[in-house]
Amino acid sequence: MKEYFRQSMDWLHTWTGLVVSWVLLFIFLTGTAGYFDTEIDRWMQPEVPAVAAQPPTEQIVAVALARLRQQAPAAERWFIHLPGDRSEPSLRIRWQSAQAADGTRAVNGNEQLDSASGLPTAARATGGGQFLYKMHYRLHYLSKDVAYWTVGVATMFMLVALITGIIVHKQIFVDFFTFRPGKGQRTWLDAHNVLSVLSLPFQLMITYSGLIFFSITLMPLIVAAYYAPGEPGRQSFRSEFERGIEVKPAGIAAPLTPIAPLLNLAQARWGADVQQYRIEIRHPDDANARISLRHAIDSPSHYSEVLVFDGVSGALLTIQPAAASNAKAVRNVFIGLHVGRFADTLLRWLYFAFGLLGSGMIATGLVLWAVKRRQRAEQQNGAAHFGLRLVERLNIGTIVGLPIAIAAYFWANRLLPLDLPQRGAWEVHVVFIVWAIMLLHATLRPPSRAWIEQFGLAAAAFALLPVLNAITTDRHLAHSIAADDWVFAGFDLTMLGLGVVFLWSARKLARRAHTAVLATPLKPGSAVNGSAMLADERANQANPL
Amino acid sequence: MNSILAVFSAFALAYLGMTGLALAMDRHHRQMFPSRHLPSTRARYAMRFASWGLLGLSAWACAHAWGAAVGAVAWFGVLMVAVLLLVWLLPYAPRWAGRLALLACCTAPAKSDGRKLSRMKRK
Repeated sequence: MKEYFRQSMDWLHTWTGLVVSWVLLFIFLTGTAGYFDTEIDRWMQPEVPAVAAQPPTEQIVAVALARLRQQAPAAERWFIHLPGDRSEPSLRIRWQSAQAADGTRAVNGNEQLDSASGLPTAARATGGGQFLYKMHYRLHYLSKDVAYWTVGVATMFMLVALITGIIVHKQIFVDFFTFRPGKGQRTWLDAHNVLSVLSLPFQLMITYSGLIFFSITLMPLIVAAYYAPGEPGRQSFRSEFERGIEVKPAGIAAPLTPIAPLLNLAQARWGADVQQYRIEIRHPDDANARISLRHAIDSPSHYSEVLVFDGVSGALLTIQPAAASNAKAVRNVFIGLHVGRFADTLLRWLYFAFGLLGSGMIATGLVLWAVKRRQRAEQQNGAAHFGLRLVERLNIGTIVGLPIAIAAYFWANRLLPLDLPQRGAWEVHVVFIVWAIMLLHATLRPPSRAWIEQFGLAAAAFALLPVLNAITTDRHLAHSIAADDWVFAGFDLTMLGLGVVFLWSARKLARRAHTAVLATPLKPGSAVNGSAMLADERANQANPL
Repeated sequence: MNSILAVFSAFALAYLGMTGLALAMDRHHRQMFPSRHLPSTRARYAMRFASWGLLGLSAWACAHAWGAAVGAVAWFGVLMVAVLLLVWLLPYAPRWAGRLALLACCTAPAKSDGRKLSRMKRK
């Protein structure tokens, strides 16, 4: 019974892992890059200078309000993100208009402003790091519902693969430190085990919290049952979270109270840096205006306490706690852990490393699947069946091809003409065009060659990015280091590091392919003998590292 | 103790603790010290016990550097880096795994705890 149980779990692990792996790898790679979304944003807009000294807060608020009055006088809500926070290094304003009668939202918008002049920052149009980040749950070219369900189902599969993986891995503690290089399939299994076990706390957290993000999408009947079916029910469910701020506009114009005294009041309560507060104004310049203040996120509980003021008199009306209930608090912590907005620089790098480990776990799992079957096919002297060849091709085109496509995104940012219409959208098209080319390349070339060629291309694509940056902007690596601009220097150095890793992989594979070619004539008819060693070597050529 | 020092000790203590746990296992003990006798059962238990203590101290250092809530998250990251380093060193440069542990002993600001492991390793 027990052995049968483990076998069936093994089967489940193998197949739940395989079918969604390529989607998961896409989610992992773009999501991992997303931990540095703001930093990538800044690299992708080299015209925006590194953040300089800010004028007094009062003045920043004044220029932001002036711009909002000009751009969106009729909006229902205004938001001001004061500069200084990691996730908003520059002053940003956003606006949202009332929900139209047919359920669609009217005009929303946002602008990044120069905090001294109050004019929008002049910079190239780009998808930025935000787009990479957004792609990891929103995918691309798909409707929201299809994307959410695809990612949701893939996440569910991942959770199943994780739990069954724990069950089938018999010796978590005995093999905790075990990695045996140069042993073919055994090495792949070791690598898969070590990467998975090391990052297991992260994987469980990220997968489970990922499902929590989608809970309303994946389980729509709960809201339908307790509120009402369809959009009205979802709307009244959402309004639950706004209790205390919900107020209708009076329709009578009234001047907005000065915001600086409210900021001082908040600072007396929270103590944190005022520059990191977020200001929201509902029904601006109306007699029923409301101003709410939030502080920056500094803990995994993710949400801030909110101070709600009367927008005309400036009186403090309510204090909304960060979490209205225990259930909400638990949800907040999971969301907060997933997004990691509270993380400082070091912790952010650890998140990034966990993300790479997760990608490595998926990649090694995929390669392991193919190595095992390739070896079996060689030993039985049979041709590789279609499924195996498909998986091998998809592996190359995704494990190496997708990183190349992401590098192409950065190349497009620097090389596309600045006045190209829809420039940001074209940067993203480039990602998918390059990825398609890589998949095509993987199908046309013999696998062992395709791996080497793509690794070589990836090495060049990443390692030459700092060079491209030096040619197309005046903020090259030496300049960034001298100017203490660690956002730019960090990006360039990371790309260089990734390039070195890819180059090392390419060289290692090329050397092995070379020795294998030398060794083959010495063992004629070895396929007939079914030498496990040689089959192993061949399998490694098709699925190397 | 300032924050950088606390972060550094968190990594050093995590690495020491993990190396101690690995040394208590025959396979890895042989890797690091091929010529020496395997530790007795009692020494093994002592090592495990002390190593878990070091990992606990590493958690404490994380809480010191980041505060309890964020520190708990950071601790998992610190442990991951420590094990990753050790797992990579064991097959490729097993001697350096031990040497790095000695270095961590000398430099970990929590000196008294460092001594525990170096004594342990001499067994």
